[in-house]
Amino acid sequence: MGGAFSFALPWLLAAGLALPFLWFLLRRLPPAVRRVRLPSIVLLDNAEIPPPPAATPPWWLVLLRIGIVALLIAGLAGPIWKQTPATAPPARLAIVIDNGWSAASQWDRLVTAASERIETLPDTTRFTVLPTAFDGPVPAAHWVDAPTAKAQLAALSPLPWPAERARRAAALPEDAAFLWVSDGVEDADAPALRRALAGAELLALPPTEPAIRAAGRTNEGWSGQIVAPPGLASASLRFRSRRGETLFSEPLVFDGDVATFRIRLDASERADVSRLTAGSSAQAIWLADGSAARPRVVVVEGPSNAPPLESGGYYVRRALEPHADVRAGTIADAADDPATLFVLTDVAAEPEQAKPLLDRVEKGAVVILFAGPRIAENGSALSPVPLRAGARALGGVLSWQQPQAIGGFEETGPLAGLAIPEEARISRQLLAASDNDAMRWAWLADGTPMVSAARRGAGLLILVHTAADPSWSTLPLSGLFEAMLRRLLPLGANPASIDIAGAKPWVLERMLGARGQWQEPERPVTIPASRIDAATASAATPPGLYRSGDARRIVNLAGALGPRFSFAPLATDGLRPAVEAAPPLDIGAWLIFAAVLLALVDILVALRLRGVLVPFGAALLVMLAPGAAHAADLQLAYVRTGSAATDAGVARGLESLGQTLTRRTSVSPGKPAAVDPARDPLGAYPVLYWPAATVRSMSPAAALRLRAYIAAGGLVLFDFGRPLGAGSGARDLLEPLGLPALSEVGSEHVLSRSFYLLSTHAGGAVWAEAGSEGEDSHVSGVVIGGGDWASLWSGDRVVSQAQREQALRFGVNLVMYALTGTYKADQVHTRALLDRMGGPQR
Amino acid sequence: MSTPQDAERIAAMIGPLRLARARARAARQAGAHPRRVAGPGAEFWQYRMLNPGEAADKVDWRRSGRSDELYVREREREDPVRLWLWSDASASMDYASDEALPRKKALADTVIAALGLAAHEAGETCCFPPDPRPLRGDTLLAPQGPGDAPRLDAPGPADIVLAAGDFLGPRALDWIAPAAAAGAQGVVIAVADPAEIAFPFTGRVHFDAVEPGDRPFEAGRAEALGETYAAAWTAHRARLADACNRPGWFLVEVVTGEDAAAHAAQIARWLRETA
Repeated sequence: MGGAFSFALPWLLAAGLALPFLWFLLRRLPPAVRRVRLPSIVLLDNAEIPPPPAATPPWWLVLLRIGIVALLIAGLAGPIWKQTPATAPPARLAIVIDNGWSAASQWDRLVTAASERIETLPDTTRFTVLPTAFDGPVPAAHWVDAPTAKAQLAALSPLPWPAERARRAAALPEDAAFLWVSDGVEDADAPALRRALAGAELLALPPTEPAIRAAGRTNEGWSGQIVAPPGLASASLRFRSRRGETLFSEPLVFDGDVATFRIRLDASERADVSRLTAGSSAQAIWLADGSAARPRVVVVEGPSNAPPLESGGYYVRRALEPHADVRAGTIADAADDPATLFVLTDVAAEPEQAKPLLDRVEKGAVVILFAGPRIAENGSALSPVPLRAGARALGGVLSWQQPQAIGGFEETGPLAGLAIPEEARISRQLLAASDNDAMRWAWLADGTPMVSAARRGAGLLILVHTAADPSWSTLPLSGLFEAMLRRLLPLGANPASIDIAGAKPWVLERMLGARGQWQEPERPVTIPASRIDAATASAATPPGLYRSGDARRIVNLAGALGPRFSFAPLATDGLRPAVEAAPPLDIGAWLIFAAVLLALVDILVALRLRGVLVPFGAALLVMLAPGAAHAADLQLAYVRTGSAATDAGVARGLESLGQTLTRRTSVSPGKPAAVDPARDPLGAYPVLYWPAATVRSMSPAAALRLRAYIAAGGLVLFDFGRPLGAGSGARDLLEPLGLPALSEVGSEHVLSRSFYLLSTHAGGAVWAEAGSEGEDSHVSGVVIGGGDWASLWSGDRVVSQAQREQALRFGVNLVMYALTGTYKADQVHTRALLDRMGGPQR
Repeated sequence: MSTPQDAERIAAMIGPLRLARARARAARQAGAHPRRVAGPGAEFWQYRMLNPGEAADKVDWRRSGRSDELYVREREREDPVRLWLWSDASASMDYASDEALPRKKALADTVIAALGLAAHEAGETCCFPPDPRPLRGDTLLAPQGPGDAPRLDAPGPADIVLAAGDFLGPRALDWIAPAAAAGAQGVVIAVADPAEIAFPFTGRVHFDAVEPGDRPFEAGRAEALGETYAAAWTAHRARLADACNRPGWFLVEVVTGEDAAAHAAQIARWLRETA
């Protein structure tokens, strides 16, 4: 397998030139020295002192260190092993990459795949990155090297409108190999590009997220259709509120590749929906109407029993319901409604009837009044202009005039720019009695007003001079009727802004990125008022939120997809799959790792040379050595005398005491242990019996260890075998222990109370450290006496039963004292002590 | 480790220390070498005239009454038993190979001070060489020892020397022979640090100078020096033993970290013996 080395930072290798100098330096530097003081070193003769060691480390250590530095230099230079591909690599590779909306869900993987393909090619190859979606003119090819091409790919991002593959196909460079990194979605432009790229490599990753192709509010909620890309089996649809909460979540069921949803939402939730999401890319997001909330509209119908299709209220409701929260009301109670927009169809209001509503208008409400026969007869107090009685009929049998078309809209009024439908004809209208200061927003072909408006206080009265039902005109049947009402709707929230949706252009305020980002537009985008209705997502009109004055409109990506859109897999005829090659190996990290390992070895070697570290074998042995012997059971111990008979006697005594302890207390000692205080560990034994009649001295080593034993809480019973006094040798024996003052153990000493209450100790006076009576927590480390207790306990000495019992009780107390210390003198026993003191008096 | 408290504790443990050995020796030698000079003592020696300026209470009025002159009654000099206490204070004693160990100086001072206090309690006379004046009890807690070796002032059979030090210097033992020849007895307490015995050094080691005159040197592989050092140390101990055994002095070898009390008790027992 052929291949080639290359270095990411080849100039770093020049550091290798310094290696011989390093050799020189290392040979000069002696290893670090340990400085010690040792007074007795003067004992060595000058002749015996070896000459100072050579100040050079061994050659293999120098070699090791140079190796470490060489590995580091080589590793930092970034060596890369590249396999040579089987086919000859192209000299120039043009990467055509799909970056329309359909590439968004797989964008990172597309870029990674393209980058990996770049890495497999030799450094001499030149690249150009050609996106299929662009914002402006078609980008031309610029040939760059591999790192720049990778940076360009990383800087590229998908765009939230369809790719323009045909335009891309028309502007391809000559004389280059091609790689098409495609989103795998077939569209109308795909064949053109495919033809232009005949023979190119194709690398396609189809989208993973569904697309919302249609959605909209219904009376009770939302409905729409979602298309899944091939291979996507499930998805879920979420309704998000303005605050980003999920209002509602629904799993989608795809029938083929289309899922239709129809979801019922409460009115309050319906008003709060800000977007529908089925994924995170732009195609899976539907922005809901940007207005803050659905306006509330009250429709008041004149008394009529006309069937629905002849009732003006029906047409008004049908036109407004998708955009507003429509309520039915009467002239009497309409003014109590919190709505700010009132639509009255042919309501001939008397002044006193209209008074509450006019008061609301004074405060900022808007009334839209449709004409009709009743107003024609009776007039209305809510009209913005004084009206002539009777309607003007056009095109009737008694008229020579034809029904009128709509003439035009006031440029500064809210209706400006609406398309005039050819088929709309007005056959009856009301005429104003005089042209006072009322505004004329729309007029008929002969110039007579069709929509008039006048300010009343903070509010607005609007009169449509024809009826809301089709009896006076075909207007309610045309699209203009709904368009007019939609234009008038925002006035309810802000009647002052009459030019609200006038000819002001729509400005892009927030833009929906291809990957679902809700971002500031990258450049200012404006759409003329006349073109906003036809706008779909494209480079000129990106999807997002547009604003004109205080009106807001949404342009969704779905408009560009069309209601029949579905994902079609990209045809691959004439293309070949992309060349597969193993990605290049980055060896640098391994070289640095090896350098670190060698550095660790170097540290160990240096420590070993300084003598700090024990050889590995010894260390291992220490680690593997079996743990300390198991802690033995509780054992009484005695000092080995050297005489087998005496030892056996002492052992019998202690064993007998042990049996007594087992029988009478919760202490159950094991077999007594014989110890040599100068050698054996003493820590495990609570009591050490010292037959001082036989062992009459102790070595300094034994004294030292015994003192440590006592300091750690042990108790030694020195038994001199006869009453203490001159000639007992107690001073000689005990001198090396350095004991503090001793005092005789009385009946108040804890030793006399630790289990049995003893008034005398069998075998005469017993001495312990002064101050260990139990008032403070000092526990005596020695008990000294001459009772020859071992023979009493074992029964070797023939005494009365009472005397032996007394000795055993002393032994029990002694072991208890060793184990519990001054516990029995604790104040918790005060009550028992008081009882005991009071006992004899009672 | 606080030396004064330790010394007092050990002294209390030893109890009043009568220098029975020195007394016995002095008694044995008194006949052989009578002093025959005036001095503090119990036996009458001579009368002499009162010198001008002498205190009047020295006058022996019974003798002076018999003549016109004023006489002073002199007694034969009697050598008191003296305990010379010396603890090496050179730089080599200010050493501990491990933080947990006491310094050699501390151990030496503890033993010397403890024995001095015990002897003082029994009414014995203690002095720091070369000053023959008896010491008070509280000064005993800070043994002094200028110089490489104790310089004794006119040693005699009633003198006992307690000398603690490391005796590492080339002439550190030369004072023993003259003192012993004059009849003095002594205890040599040789203090050593565990590191001085074991020589636990390996690898590249630089040995700093300890005493002002020492020559620092560097060993490339200290472990290679181990055997040479062990031989030198054994020779050092042999020198010590030889210097002490020849006049019948008592050599106590002490390693820092060992129990000072045990060694002090051992020395006290030797001092109490009358052999």
